[in-house]
Amino acid sequence: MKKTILFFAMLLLLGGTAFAQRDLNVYPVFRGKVVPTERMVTTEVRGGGMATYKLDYYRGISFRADTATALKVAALVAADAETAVSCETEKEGALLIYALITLQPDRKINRYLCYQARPEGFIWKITILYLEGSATLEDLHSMFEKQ
Amino acid sequence: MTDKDKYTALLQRYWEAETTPEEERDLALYAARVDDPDFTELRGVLGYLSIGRERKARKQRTMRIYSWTAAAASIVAVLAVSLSLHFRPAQRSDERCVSYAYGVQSNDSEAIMASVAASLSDFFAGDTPAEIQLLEMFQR
Repeated sequence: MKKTILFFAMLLLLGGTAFAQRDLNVYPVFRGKVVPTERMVTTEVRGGGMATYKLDYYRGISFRADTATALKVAALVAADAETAVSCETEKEGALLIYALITLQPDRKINRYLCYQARPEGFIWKITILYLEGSATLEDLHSMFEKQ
Repeated sequence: MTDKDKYTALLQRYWEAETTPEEERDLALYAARVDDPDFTELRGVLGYLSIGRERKARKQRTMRIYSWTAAAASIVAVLAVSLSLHFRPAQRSDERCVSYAYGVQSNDSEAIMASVAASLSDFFAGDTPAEIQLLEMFQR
């Protein structure tokens, strides 16, 4: 009985420390499930260098996609925007072309999802960033406005 | 047959280990009630047995307490570790700085941090995203 209680206590508590990014609808895009990673430029930075921006984690992907794929990705981003704390979005026709989403914080860590789709002929250049850290949206705006 | 006769006979059977548990209880109650020197030895034996029983019960109680204390301590330890993971500063020990352009890995932290700054700047100040710049660079 005691062993069972301990097992469930551990399972419950360790489960809470799971990687926060996985709860996003857009996570499969980061994993290369929508566009293969071989067709992307991906950047991942954790720790040290991100402290300048009051961030702990940065993950960015950029790729080219046709309109159908762009719509699919935009739908995933829009789904994340629905459960967000706040978001700024911009559309071009049916396609979401810009989104700055403040996600639900993971405990005390602020989380952001940034999305941009730029037209390039008949295709789209899509950039998505996922950020984690103590920086507020105001902090980030003020940091880059000064530059 | 007086009480004394009855219990003396019972005592005799007790020493010969022929009494039932009920009879032993009855005999013990009688021995405790009377101040008869014939039952002094029995009182001594019963006293010793009761001390033994008390010791055993105390030991079992102690074991039970130890067992629950150990379980509680384990839960507290798990809670402490989990809470420290939960509320630790956002900084993680596993540092990482890597970029992949079409499957080609780069660990040039200076270039990566420059692209990070450019991408952040694009979203928070309106510049061109670094990933798109890299994309264009690799397409040429």
